[in-house]
Amino acid sequence: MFSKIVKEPIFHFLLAGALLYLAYQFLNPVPADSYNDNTIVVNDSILKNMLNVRSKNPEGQFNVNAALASLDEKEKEVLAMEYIEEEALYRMALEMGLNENDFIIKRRMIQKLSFLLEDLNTGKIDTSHDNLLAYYETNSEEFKTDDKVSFAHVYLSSDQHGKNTITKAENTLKLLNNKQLEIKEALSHGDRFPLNHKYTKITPTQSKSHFGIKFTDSLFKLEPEDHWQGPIESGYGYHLVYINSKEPGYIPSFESIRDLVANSYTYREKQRLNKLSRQSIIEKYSVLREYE
Amino acid sequence: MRYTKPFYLLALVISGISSTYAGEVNPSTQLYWGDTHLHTSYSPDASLNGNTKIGPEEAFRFARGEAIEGHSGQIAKLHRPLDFLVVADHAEYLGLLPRIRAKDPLLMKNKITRRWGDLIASGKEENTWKAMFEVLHDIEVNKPSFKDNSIMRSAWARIIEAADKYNQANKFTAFIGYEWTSMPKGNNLHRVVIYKDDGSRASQMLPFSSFDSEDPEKLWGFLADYEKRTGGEILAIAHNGNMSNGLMFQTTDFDGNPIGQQYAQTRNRWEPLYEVSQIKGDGETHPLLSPEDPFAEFENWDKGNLTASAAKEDWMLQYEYARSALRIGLSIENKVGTNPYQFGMIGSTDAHTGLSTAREDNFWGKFSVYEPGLHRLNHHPVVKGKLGKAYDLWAYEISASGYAAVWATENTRAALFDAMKRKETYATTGPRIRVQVFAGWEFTKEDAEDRNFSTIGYSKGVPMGGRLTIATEAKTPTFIIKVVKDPDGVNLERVQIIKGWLDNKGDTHETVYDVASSKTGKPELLTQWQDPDFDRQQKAFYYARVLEIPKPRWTSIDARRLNVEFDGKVPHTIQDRAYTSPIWYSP
Repeated sequence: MFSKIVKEPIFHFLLAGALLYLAYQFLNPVPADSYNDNTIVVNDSILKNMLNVRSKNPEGQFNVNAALASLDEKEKEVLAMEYIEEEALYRMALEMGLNENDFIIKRRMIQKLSFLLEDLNTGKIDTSHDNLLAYYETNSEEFKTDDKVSFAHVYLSSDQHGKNTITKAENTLKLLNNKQLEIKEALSHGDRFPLNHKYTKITPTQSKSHFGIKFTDSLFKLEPEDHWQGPIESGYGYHLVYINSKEPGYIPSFESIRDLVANSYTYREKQRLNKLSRQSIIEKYSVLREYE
Repeated sequence: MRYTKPFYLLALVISGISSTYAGEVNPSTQLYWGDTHLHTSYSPDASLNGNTKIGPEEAFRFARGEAIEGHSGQIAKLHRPLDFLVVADHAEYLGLLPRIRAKDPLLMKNKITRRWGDLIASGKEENTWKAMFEVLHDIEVNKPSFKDNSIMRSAWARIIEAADKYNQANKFTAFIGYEWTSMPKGNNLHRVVIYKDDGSRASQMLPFSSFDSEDPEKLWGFLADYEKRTGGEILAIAHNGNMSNGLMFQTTDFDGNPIGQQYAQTRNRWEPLYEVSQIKGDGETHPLLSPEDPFAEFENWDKGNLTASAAKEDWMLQYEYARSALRIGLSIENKVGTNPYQFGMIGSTDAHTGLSTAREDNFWGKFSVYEPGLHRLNHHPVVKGKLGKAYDLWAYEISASGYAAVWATENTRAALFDAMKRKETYATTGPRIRVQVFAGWEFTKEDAEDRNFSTIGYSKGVPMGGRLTIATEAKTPTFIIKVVKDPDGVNLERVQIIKGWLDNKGDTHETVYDVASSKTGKPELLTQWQDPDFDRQQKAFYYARVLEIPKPRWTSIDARRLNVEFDGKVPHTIQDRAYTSPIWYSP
């Protein structure tokens, strides 16, 4: 039940609003309802806040109580007057609507709210066993290990055969499969490849390093067969491949990769929640598009 | 599966070989690609130039192959993931800007940080530049106008946390690191610091910043202290020296005293590598330093220092480029007994976008404000005369470069770090060209063509970064070199060996030898080469330079995509390259 409420966008909005309100209270400790009448309240906590804001010392290294106590009547009165003047002018400016259409004020407020939302969302991410397990189950593909392929290839170099390379490759394929040649002999029907002719249990990353992206994408779509396959194109030319075995990637047990799952879950949740809370705020408003 | 007899045999042959790459039986090293110098939103200048959301965590995710949304709404993704990454944010004001942007109440209490916050919040470019100048000025004069260790501590903790989180043995290596940003009078002396260790050690000490000292010897002192106090291991990489205005490879120490043995040994100990190419231009050599080298003119940034406060003068160049520095190293070694500039080569991006990209057709710029789009073709980031600037700079001059290639035993922090220490590395200006070089006394033509190239190489000689000693009578250094093009890139035009040496009078010289070439380009170039001018009494170094055939530069690709014409000054093509670590000979 509670988790259902937590998922409601409106709840996010209310919570964000509450947090914003609290933060505002902290930064501007004025009774909120005082805005509704013409009373300006000055009390100890307001004076302390004034002293705090003016202090050059970082927070925690400034004894605000002692500072307030050290003020005599006159000094206190000066401080209070400053506050009263600031507050009065500020309220009048608000009444006159001077905050509207002010770019700096607008951006500041947006930044404040964004920060609050992010903070709120980070605190909301629940990495309990059940949540992680559910995430693991629905996103299992993300944690899958790489496929591994073992193969030999006969290489036809574009550099040597130019436009005829593909034809040559097709003819060589027929020959290899008709004669059922042993590997050494089969290799002698191709060109010398700069790297290796035989590969054991290589991953797509390793394959890309030796053959490039195009070849690798084609190679990992093939299955082991008892004949030569291809031709597959690479940045070097064409290849005929004999795939001996393919070890499909697997999804490791949840327990063995719990940390990885938690990392991924936290990252994605943060992104999702931030998007969601912005969306839910936008949804509070009806938008009228008047442009063409 | 049912096999007919010959195929059954064939299957046995394939499965009977146990090494990963059959054919080369048990090669002792593999090639890994990465970037040792990438900034994220935690660096003040990155943040002030538009990177508001790509932090260390996003940077690691991107490098290992994930798609990340940029600031312009476009999706960035690498064609091929990287094997390793060092997030190297500036130690100065580390993590401060994201906190200012978030209006941290503590920072809004401070006059300076509130001012920067207001300037940024105004949303006007000129105001952001104002904040940027103030931040840079503080770093330049080593006087922080805002001081609070708690900001750095929390940023450092988050950087370490992200690196430890994404570091996965044999899959992806995430190094802990940072950049020490010393720039006296705007002259770039930066160093990237890299940890072999995980957070349990790295978190014991905060990064050493130029606010602590701008003197490189003080940085090395800190590195030594780190190793002593934590039992960890650490190294530094000198930043591309082309904006140091003559300071990166001087013959004197920071205070102006001639380099002595102590300085030479210390620098040699802590700085095994040099960043020879990156976004801010190429640093192998310069046309004025190597007038006979037709390929010396390449993506040079030679207008002045980093802050554009002083223009370049010709005498400065020799102390800024890799080739001349290697020569100066030989001559200092001759005087004091140790070579301070015995460095290997790496390339890196130095991108501030959190996106490590160096491909011409997938280049995301130096700063987030230069993501692909029309603005970056005609933007003018530095204007001469304005605010005392000594030169003009256009966004099109930014170079889509480079990456670090490392020959290591496996993809782990320890193995990659060890390979960096022994300099078994090379630089490329972007493409993933595969280069191997071995030097020894008895390499033959057959060795170069042998299937077990690297096994033979290691058993009969030393790899790049190594040293040859004492030639016996009548022996000449021989090299085997094997270069294979980026499988997703263009063909190779030539392989050259660049030799520098010290003559009997104590003067240094250089020669470029073409050792393999093809006008139209080849997918592979391999060769055996023997030094025709060897004198066994003379100290020397040899490194390989590989050139691709010309291809469109990122600016041309942008212009074609956007269907615009660009200024005639903008180069249309580029010949990307690789530079290997040298092999030194000393009698």
